[in-house]
Amino acid sequence: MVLDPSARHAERPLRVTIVSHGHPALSIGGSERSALSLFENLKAADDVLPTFVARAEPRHLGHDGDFGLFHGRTDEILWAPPAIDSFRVVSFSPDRLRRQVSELLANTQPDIVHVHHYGGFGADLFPILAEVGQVPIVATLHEYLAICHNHGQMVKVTGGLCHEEYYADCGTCFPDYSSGKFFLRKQLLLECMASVDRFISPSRFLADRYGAWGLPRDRIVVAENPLPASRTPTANGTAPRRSGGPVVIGFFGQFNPFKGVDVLLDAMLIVQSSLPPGAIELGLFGGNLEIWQPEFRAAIEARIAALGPAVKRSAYRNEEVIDLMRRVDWVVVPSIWWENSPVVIQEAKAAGVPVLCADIGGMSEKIRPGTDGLHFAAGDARDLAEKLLAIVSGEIETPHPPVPLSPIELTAGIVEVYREASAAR
Amino acid sequence: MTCSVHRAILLADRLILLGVGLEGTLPDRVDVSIPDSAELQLPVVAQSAVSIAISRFATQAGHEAGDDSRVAFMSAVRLPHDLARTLITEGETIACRLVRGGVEIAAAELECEPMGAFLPYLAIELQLLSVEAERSDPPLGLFLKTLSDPASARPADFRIDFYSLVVDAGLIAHGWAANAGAGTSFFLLADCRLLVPDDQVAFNARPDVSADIHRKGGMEETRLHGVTIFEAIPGAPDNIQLIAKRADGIFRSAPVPLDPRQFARILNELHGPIPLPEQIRIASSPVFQKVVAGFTRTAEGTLRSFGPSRPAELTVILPFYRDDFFMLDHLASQRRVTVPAEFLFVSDDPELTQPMIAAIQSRGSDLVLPTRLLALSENVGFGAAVNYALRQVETDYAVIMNSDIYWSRFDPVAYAVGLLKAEPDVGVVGFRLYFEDGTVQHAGMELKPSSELGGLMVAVHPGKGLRPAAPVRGPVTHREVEAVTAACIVVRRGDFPDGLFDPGYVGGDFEDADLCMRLKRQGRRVMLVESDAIFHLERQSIRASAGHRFLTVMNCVRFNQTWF
Repeated sequence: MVLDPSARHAERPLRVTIVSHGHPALSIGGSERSALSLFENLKAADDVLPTFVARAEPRHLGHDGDFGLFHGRTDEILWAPPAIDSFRVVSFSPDRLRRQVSELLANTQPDIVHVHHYGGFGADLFPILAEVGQVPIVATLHEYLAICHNHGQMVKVTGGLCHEEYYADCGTCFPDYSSGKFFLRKQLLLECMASVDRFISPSRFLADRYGAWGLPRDRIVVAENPLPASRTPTANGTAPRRSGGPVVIGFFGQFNPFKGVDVLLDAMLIVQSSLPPGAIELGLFGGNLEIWQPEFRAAIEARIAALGPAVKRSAYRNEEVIDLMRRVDWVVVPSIWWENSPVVIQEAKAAGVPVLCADIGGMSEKIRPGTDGLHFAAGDARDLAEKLLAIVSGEIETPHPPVPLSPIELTAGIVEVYREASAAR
Repeated sequence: MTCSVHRAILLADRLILLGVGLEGTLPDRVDVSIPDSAELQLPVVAQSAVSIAISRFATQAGHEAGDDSRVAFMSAVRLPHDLARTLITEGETIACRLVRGGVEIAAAELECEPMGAFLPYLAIELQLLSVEAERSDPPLGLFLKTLSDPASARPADFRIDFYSLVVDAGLIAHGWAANAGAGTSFFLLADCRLLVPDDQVAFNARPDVSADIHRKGGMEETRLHGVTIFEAIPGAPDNIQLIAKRADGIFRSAPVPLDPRQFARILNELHGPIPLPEQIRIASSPVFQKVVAGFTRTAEGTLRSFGPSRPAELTVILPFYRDDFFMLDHLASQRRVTVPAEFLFVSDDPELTQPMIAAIQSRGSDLVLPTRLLALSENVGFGAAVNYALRQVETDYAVIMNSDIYWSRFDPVAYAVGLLKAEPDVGVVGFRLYFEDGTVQHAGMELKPSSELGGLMVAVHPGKGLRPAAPVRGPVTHREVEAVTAACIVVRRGDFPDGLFDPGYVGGDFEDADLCMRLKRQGRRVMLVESDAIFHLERQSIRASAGHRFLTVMNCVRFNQTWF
C-alpha cells in the first residue's frame, strides 16, 4: 500500500517519528489512541517508516534510563521526559529535554516529527525538536490546553462554558495566578508553537478557536484523526436495525465530569418516569470513575442505583467497541465541554450507528442532524430527555448514517500534510 | 518588731523600698547590699500616716493589728542602668538593713519585684507612690503619678495583643486593646528604661474587636481599639513591656520579643482604618522619622556567574522578591537582546535564591548572555537592592526592571541607550508600558496634589487602564516628561556613584519620582520612550490593597518634605 503516490519514486520511505504523550496500553485516552492508530496505519504502508514514541513513567521503562522499548518492539519507544510546569505547560528541565531529544532523533532519524500531544513534555518540545532535528514539525491539536488552564477544556471552574480566553477572567478562575501571568503563559506558548510547521486540527471548530487565539490560521489544517484500519466502515457494514424490545442507547468513554454522564443519567430518570418499564435501556460502557472526587463518584453511583435495571454498566476493550456499538440503537455523547473530535463519534460512524450529541464544539460539527444523528442542548437533561422520548415514541426517525472516510483515506490525508509541510520549507 | 521593710520594687531604674514601723522608730536610712555588685545607702525619703491603711499594710507586713502609732515609710534610689538591668533580668535577692542613728534596727532579704510585676494595691502604697511622683522627674514622675491614682488599686480588665514590635533606633508597635482609645495612658519599659510615648500614640477603629466585645456582653466605650505606638529608643533592648493605664485599672503586657525583620510588615499593615490625618501626623513626626531612619536593613551579597563571558555595555538589573515566576520569561528574553549586554538577577528574598539558581541552571540553552545572580542574605527592598546591584555593575549603562516587566522586542531599550549616549543632559529614560490587555500602564508620570492625601503631591499615571488615545505603532520615538516609573528605566551607571535611589523610601514607592526630581534639580531631563513592545504585568495584590497604605503616606510625606 502506498499512501503518498507523489513520492512513489523516492529512494526510501518517509521516516516519521510520532510523539505521543502516552501509550494507550499504559494510559487510556483518546489522543493516545489516535496517535497509535495513526502509527499502525502508517506502518502498514510501504512508503512510510514510522516510529511511535510515547511518554511513559520511569517505572514503565523498568530501568533508570530515559528511554525504553514497549514490549521489546523496536519501533515503539517509551520516553520518560522531565516533569513539566503545569501552569506554563513547559518543561522544568529544558536542557535535559534537549539532550533527550538529541538522543532520540539521532536514533529515529526522522524526515518529519509529528507531535500528537505536547502536554506531557512541555511546549518547549517544539523549538527543541525544530532546532535539534532540523526537520518539519507537525502537531495535532487535541483540546484547548494552550488556551485554557482548566485541563484545556474551556470550561469555567464553576462549571459554565467559556467562550473565549480573557486574562482577567482566567485570573478569576485561578486566583493564584494574576491576569499578567496568563498573558505570559500565552506569550510563551505562542513562542514555542511558532516552531511548528503545520498544525492538524480534527475539527474546524477547534481550528477556529486556536486561530482566534493567535495561531496562524493558515498553518492549521483540518483533518480527522484516523481510526485503526480494522475499523474500516465498509468492513463493518451498517448497523443492523433491531425490531421490538426496548430502545437501547449507549454511552461509551470515560466517566469524568466533562463527559456529561450525569446529564445523561438525569435525562434517563426523567424519561423513565414517563415510560413503562422496559421501554428504554442505557448501556454505560467505560471506566475510570474511581479516579474522580468522591462527590462526583457518589452522585453518579446514586443516579445509576435510582435507575435500577434500566442501566447496564460494563468496561470494554477498545477492540470490542464497534461490536458493542452495533448492539445499541443510538450512541449518546453528552459532553458538557466543547470536545474536539471525539473518537467515540468516529467509532459510532464506523459502526453505522446514529449519534445523539450535545450541540456544541466539535460534536455538533461532526454530527449533521437528520443525517448522522441529532443534537440536544448541552448540559440540558430535560432537552435530552425530550429527544429520547421522541426517539422511543418514533416521533424522531432513526437516521441511517452514510459511510464515512476510511482510516486509510484519513491516514493518506495526514501524509499529505507531511508532504505539504516539507514542501513549504 | 518595731520596724520592717517588706517590698523591694524596681520601677524602671529606680529601686523603691516600702516599709512600716512604729512612729519614732523609723530608720533614717536603708543600707542595701546587692550580691557581687554594690552597696547602697538609701535615705528614707517619705513617710506617711494613714491609720486605716497602715493598719492593713502593717498586718500584711506581719505587724500586730490595732496599733495606730505605726507609719509607713518609703525609700528610693536611682540605680546605675547596668545594675538595674541585672536586677530585672536575673531577679536578684537584695539584703536590706534599716539603720537609725548609725545603728541597725532591722534587716531583711527581699526579692526585687520588677515593675511589670508590681501593681499597687494598697492605699498606703498609692500614697507613697504619689509622694515619690512629686519629687521625681518625668517620665518616672508622670508614671508614678498615674500609678498612684486610686483607681489603679486593682488590675484592669484589659487585654492587649501586640502582634509585633520592631526596634533598632526605635520601635513601632501595632496591635489592639479593648477600649484603648477611651482615655488610656501608655508607658513602655524597654529593659529598665521607662518611656512615655505621649504624642506618638494613634488609635484606630477595629470592628473585629468591637464585635468581640459585644459578643461577650462587654461595654464598648469607644470604637477605637487599634493602637499604634512609636518611640525612639537608644540602644537595642531585648524586649519591650507595655503598661497601659485606664480609669478602671492598670494592665501590663508580657515582655514582647523584638523582631527587626517585622519592620516592613508592620509598616505595610498600618493602613486602612487609621484615619488619614493621623497617618500623616505619624509620618510627619520627627520621632517617627528618626525611628524609620534608624532602621537600616543591611544584607550580605553573594555573586554567582552563569552563561558565556563577554564584554557588555549594558547590564539588565532584575530584582526578585516573593515570586520567581518571571525568571523563565527573562531568561527567554535574552535571545531578543540586540546590544552587548549582561543580566544581573537579584534575589532580594533568601527563599527565592535556590529556585532562581535552579531556573538558571535548568535553562542553559537560554543563556546566550553573561548572567549573574546576586543573592542578598536579607530582604532589603527594591531601592536598596538596586543600589546594591548597581555597585556590582561595570557596564556604562544599566536597565533597572521590575521582575514583572516583559519586553516582546528589545529595540525600545536599545533606543533608550542610544538616547543616553547622544544626549548628555538626559538623566533617566523610562518607557511607555502596557498592561497585558493592551491598555496603558504607564506613559509618563505627572506630579499633582492629591485630594485623597490631604493635598500632598503624588505621582499619577495619566490614562492608566485605558486604551492609548492613538495606538503606538511604527518606529520607536521619545518625548520629555515630568517623571517616569522606575518599573523599567535606563540610566548611566557613572551618574550614580552613591546609588540610584534614596534608601529613605520604604517599600518601592516614590523612589522613582524622587529620582526624577533629583535629576531635574541637577538640570537633567527625564525622557519617555514610546513603543508598543513593553508590558508591565503589575501585580494584582498591590492593586487590590484597600485604603491608603501607610507606607504610601509615609513615603509621600518624605517626598513632599524633600521637594516641596
